[in-house]
Amino acid sequence: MPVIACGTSLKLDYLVQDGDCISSIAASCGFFWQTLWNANPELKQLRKNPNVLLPGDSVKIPDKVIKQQSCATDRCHKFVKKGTPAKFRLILERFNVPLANRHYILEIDDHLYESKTDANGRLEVSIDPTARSGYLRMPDDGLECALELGSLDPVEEMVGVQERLQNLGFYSGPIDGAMNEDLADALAAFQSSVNLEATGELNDATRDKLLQMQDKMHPQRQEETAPPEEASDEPEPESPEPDLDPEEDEAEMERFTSLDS
Amino acid sequence: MALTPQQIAEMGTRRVQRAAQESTFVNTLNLVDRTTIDFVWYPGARNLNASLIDVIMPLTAPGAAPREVPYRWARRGMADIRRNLSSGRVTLPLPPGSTGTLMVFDTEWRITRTAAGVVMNAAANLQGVQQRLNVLGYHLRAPGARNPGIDSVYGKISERAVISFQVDYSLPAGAPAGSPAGPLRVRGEWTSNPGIQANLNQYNSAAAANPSAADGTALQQALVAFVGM
Repeated sequence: MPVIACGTSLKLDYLVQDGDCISSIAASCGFFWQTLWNANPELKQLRKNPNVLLPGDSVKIPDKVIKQQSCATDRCHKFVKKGTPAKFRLILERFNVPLANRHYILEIDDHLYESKTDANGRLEVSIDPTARSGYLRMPDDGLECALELGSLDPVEEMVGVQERLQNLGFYSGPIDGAMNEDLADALAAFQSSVNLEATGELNDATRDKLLQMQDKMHPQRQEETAPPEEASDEPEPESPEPDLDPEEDEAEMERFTSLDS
Repeated sequence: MALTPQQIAEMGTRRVQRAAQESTFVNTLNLVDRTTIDFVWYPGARNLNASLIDVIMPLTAPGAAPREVPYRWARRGMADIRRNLSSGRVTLPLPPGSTGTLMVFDTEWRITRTAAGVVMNAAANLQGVQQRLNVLGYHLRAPGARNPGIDSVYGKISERAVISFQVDYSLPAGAPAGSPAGPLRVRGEWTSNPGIQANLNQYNSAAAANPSAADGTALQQALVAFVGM
């Protein structure tokens, strides 16, 4: 993460780098991600998803609100810094069949996670919001995969389309943002697989389907927040990241809580 | 079997998103493993890369466009993939247990990937030698027979295939890799290929025992180098 001056009264613009997302920038600056996201309404409108920013996007770093806490003298006071772990969620498939109940070993930065996927081929782990790289192994299936966390680009960009097609197993060409023969083939194959006309050309319907197939919502959460299954062809809600209640946001602006009774 | 770093690099790193604890976003990775097929000249050179069919052959005119060889990969339920070969290597998405058809070089290949994967016998085993010779195009099938001839029997046809391979690759049978060429250890009288006559003459003049040519270490090493373990 490049140097960010924060904790001052200056309002700064931070230029997003590859691997950044709102959570990682917020963690580096000592904010909750919701605080930073809500402080950037234009970016919020443009990107919709705080986890997927484009290098070069500008993020306004707001002023810190100084929280004051009265404390008696000659006493010891305890303060707890609230943690804001990020989540890393994967749905693992092999030729579109979920890799259910499969042993996996996931290494993210220096942390090792070892368990089994659930019945839908999903895994979910808590990670440091600034974690950058990972490596997934499924020894029983002979599958290995290197991961770059936070590097997924918006689907509105051609690189974002290439990355999603790669993740979905349709594309193995360069991630360079340029249309090429392999990409046209991959688009046609993807379109065919989701019952779109296999033109090999990029259009809004294909982008929506890519979002739906690659970034699709956690089914359990989907039950809580989204329409029933038959409406699943609809595009993602514009802002699935729930905003904090403004009052709660205000109250949690500071990340330190006194444990004094 | 674990992937090599080169295979991982070829697969590319997957770019994924983190998610906030309260969010609903996930990443979906469809880990489509691919099948790589090498087309090599027959007979090939000792080095696999050197014997890969080079499909980009510059035309005689200076500055002329390279020749491109188109191929089509068809699999039921998927849109056809049409691309051009840039070397003799083609990489195809093919799930275990499924079949597809590859059309290239004006030929058609029906390719099936077994669900359990193909495991060859050890190269030191006669059947392992036969399996690898078969992959490289050396005929083991008896005339009119239906089975491919991979039967662990070192008969005349197997022997002919072994000798042909040795001649094509100038291998001294039974000699460790890097050692000076020695006489072929063959036990047949098949001499229709003049290329092996000299070797046979050397053999005939040698007083050494005459074990099967398939026992040759250099032959087994060469087969493993080309076809794999």
